[in-house]
Formats: sequence, structure tokens, C-alpha cells
Amino acid sequence: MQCEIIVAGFPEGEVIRAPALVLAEPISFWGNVSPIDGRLLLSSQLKNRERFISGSALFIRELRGSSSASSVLLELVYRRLAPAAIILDSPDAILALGAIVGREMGWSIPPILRLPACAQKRVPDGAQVLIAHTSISFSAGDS
Amino acid sequence: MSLHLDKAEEALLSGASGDGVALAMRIVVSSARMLGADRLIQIRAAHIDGCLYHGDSGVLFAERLTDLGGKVSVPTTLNVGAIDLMHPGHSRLEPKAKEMARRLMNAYVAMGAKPTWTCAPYQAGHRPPRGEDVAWGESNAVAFCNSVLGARTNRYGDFLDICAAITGRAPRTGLHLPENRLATVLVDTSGIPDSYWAQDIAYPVLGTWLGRVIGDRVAAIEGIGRPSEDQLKALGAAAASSGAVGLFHVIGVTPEAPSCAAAFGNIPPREVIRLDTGVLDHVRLTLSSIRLEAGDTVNAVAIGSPHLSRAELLLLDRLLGDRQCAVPLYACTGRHVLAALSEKDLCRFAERGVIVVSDTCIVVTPILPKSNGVLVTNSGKFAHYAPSNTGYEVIFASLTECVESAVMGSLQVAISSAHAV
Repeated sequence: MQCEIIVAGFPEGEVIRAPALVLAEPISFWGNVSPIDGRLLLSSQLKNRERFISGSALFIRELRGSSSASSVLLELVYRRLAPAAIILDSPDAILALGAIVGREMGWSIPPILRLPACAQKRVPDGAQVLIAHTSISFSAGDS
Repeated sequence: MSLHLDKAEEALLSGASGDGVALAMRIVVSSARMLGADRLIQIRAAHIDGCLYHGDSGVLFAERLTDLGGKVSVPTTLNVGAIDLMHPGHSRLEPKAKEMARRLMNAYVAMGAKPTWTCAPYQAGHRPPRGEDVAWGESNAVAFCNSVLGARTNRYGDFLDICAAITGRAPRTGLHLPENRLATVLVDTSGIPDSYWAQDIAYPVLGTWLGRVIGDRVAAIEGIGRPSEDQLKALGAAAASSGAVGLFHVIGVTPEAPSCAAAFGNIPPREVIRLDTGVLDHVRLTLSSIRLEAGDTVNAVAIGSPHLSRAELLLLDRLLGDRQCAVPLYACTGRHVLAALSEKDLCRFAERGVIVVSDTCIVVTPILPKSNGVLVTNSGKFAHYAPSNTGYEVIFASLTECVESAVMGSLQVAISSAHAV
């Protein structure tokens, strides 16, 4: 599948291999993600509660806004606990700022990519995802 | 579309006004490119949300800006920090985090921002005029600024807010453009009796519905009478926490909606949604994270998100009367409100078991006792964030129910709202 680049990763040009963490439920980075350890803080009914986003190819179909989403992402970047890549349905200026500032600070940042929710639905949770520039492919994962 | 910078902006980018300005300008320009803006606009004021401590990275960034000589170039107010500077004992942050939170707050003051420390800057004297472009952070403040004041701002995230304040520039996009401020969805509330809007819970409930259903579209609401400024504040805060609402209109009330035609720019609505009480009663139920019976034990009560106005704090005083709270009642407000109260007023609150919190609030920093207890609140925003941020379960209730529950230490539900619980 082809995606668009919202913010390029830094260092640039890296090929990313990471397990897919597919979030069907809407999340807000501030409030639903711990900036300390990358754990998902979701209500007890939701299946992804307590999972960690660090190192994943994080597919987010619906991002809920908070003006502090950028702070949470920057903190994860600083702690080297950010996802390996973040894939959104539509560009989110606030979240992307966390990556833009991280790059200015000279820290490694994940690419933030755009892939429509309907295409995201084809990616099974836990699949191994390969991202090279604007190409996203996946194969069945271990889980 | 490629971004065009004028000569002055190119100069800022190249460091003519210092390295701090150049760093801020690179971030503004990167954001503008990402958003597909064709130009930057000049902004006249800013409200900064980046002063809340989320971790050391934000402190390092703010101190990078100060080290490079960054100063705000427009009048700038500050949102809440992670410490109540007037009552430092309230925060349970560990000493290292407290020190970093203080460094962060100091860095923003060093850049020339006013230490207002409130999420309701619009009630602390920061009221840009209608039509003025500004760069505001904090979602409730953004919704109020656009909707109630009619000034123009996008939802500026942490870091872009301070960069806009330093450079005086922001991407020319979104709600800065008049055509994007027109309503596209009409919310018709004619099926709801007028008495519904006399309840204080009506506004956070309507706001929560608005955020969930409307998202980042612009709605015009018709038929809710003439809500007060505090009611519009509650509506906007709930809408901006349950969804991405940056602007809403209330026909006949808010400045860009003197009439339905004006709100929609004489274009027919793309969608008309007819609301009824059944929908709102359901939304009200979902604002509580658990079900409790009247009389069940509760552990704390919190009000004041957004920060209480002076009128709201005085109403709390009246409702409480001479009674003592059985469980702590946290009243979050700004230092602008405390400055207008006497020492005696503040003592009276403390004597009755009200913990007045300023400069911060109970969902952004650990203030509530560590517990898996139940928190009662009348704030849609507290209801939204308290379960994940504090570990408390939440019961959403009216202000009267909040006060009665605090006094009894158990859930007190008014008869008039029993059908909704």
C-alpha cells in the first residue's frame, strides 16, 4: 500500500520493520498514552488497555484531539519509547509537532504517515509491517 | 501549494533576529508546510499551553529557546502548570518532577509570557477582539476564543503556541480563514423543552454530544436560549475534550451567528441534526464511568474545569452555606479569581473542607489522594479525563448534587434528574 508522508522520520531513509498495533478505538495521545513508559491508558472495557505503543507500527484510525499530544510524543521520543512509525487516517498538526520539535532537538523521530482508515483495516493487529519511504507492506505476524 | 515567505519572514528564519527566533520560525514553517498553508499570517496575541510539565523533554525545549534568547513578541498568557505555586503543598509530584515542572514554568515566564496560569485566560482579562488573529493553545480556551469572542485561532498544540508567540507568525490555514468559520451543520434543539436549558448540566452534556458527533466540523446550535458566559465555557470545554471542536456558533448569541443565515454565510446547511432529550440523557449517562445508587459512598468532589469564575466560586459558597464537607471538595480556579477574594473568604472555604486549587487542576497533576475511589464532578472535561489521569471512577452530576454529595460523603441525586440516572 502507498501512504503519504506527514513528517519524515529522522534519521531519514530508514526502512522500518515493526509489529502492527492496530487501534480500532479513538485515542488521544494526552490522556490515553503514558509519556513515561508508552503504555495505553484506556478504559477497562477496551481490549488494548495496558499495551505498549513503543517500537510498534501504530495504526490510529481516529485520533482525538488534545493540544498536549505533541508533548506526549516528544517525551516518548526523548525517552526512546516512541512507536517505530505512526500511521494516521488524516494529518494531525498537533501530534506531528512532537516529531518536528524532536528533530530540531536532534533526537530520532518516527515517521508520521497518512493511510486512510479503510486501507488501515486491511492490516491485522500483530502483523509484521515493513515501511520503506511511502510503501507499507505487511505479513502475518506471530501473534 | 508551496509556502511563500515574505522578506521579513525570510529574515526571521535566517537568524536576523537571533537564534531563538530562527528556531521558532523553523518550527512554524515546518508546520505551515505540513498543513499545506500558502502563507503565514501575523498574530496579535498568544495563550500558551506548553508550560504544563509532561516530562523533561518539554523543559529541555523551553530552555533551548531561552538559551537562544527567545522572547515573545506579542501579549502572551500562560495556561496551567503542574504546580499550584500559591499552594505548593497540594501537588504530590515527586521532588525531581516538581523541580522540573518549576523550571518549565520559569522558562516560559523568562520568555516574557504573563504568569496567569489559567485555562480560562478569557476570564483573566485576555480577550482579543472579534476578527483578530491570535495563536491560542488549550482546547477549551481555543473553543471559547473562536466561538464566544470571535477572535481567530486554530487549535495550537504545545510548542507551536510558543513558536507563534516568539515569531508573531502562524500558518495561514484553518479557522484563521473566514470561509472555514461558517457553520456547515445545524443543530436543531426545538424538540427539547426550554426547562432543560435551565439546568447547569445541560451545557457540558450538549458539549460532549457536540464533540462526539460533530468532531472538527463547525456547528450552529439553535434554540438553547441565551446561555451565560460560564455556560458557554462549559459547553466549549466538553466539546473540545470529547472531540476536535475548535469553533461552534449559538444562533442569536455568539458574535458570528446573529442569525442562521449569517452563521451559514447564506449557504444551506449540509446537514441538519434534530436533537431530543433522549439523546442527551444517554450522553449524560456516558459521562459517568460507573453506576452508583443514591447514598453510595464517594471519595472526593472536584469542580472547576475550566477554572471557576468568581461567580461560580460565589455560587459554591452559597450552595455550601455553613455546612462542612465530609469528603474533600476541590475547587480549581485561577489566581485572577483568588486576587479578588479576601483572606477571610479563603479561610471560610478551607474551614468547610473546600480545597481551593489555583494555577493548575486535579487532572493535570497528582493532587487527589492516591486511591481507586469515586470522584463526583459537574465538569464534562474532568469527567472525560479523570478516569485515565487520576485512577478515580467518575460520577457526573449537577453542581448542587456535587455540593450535597461532598457534604454527605455519599452520592446525592436531585429528584428532578432522577430519570437520567
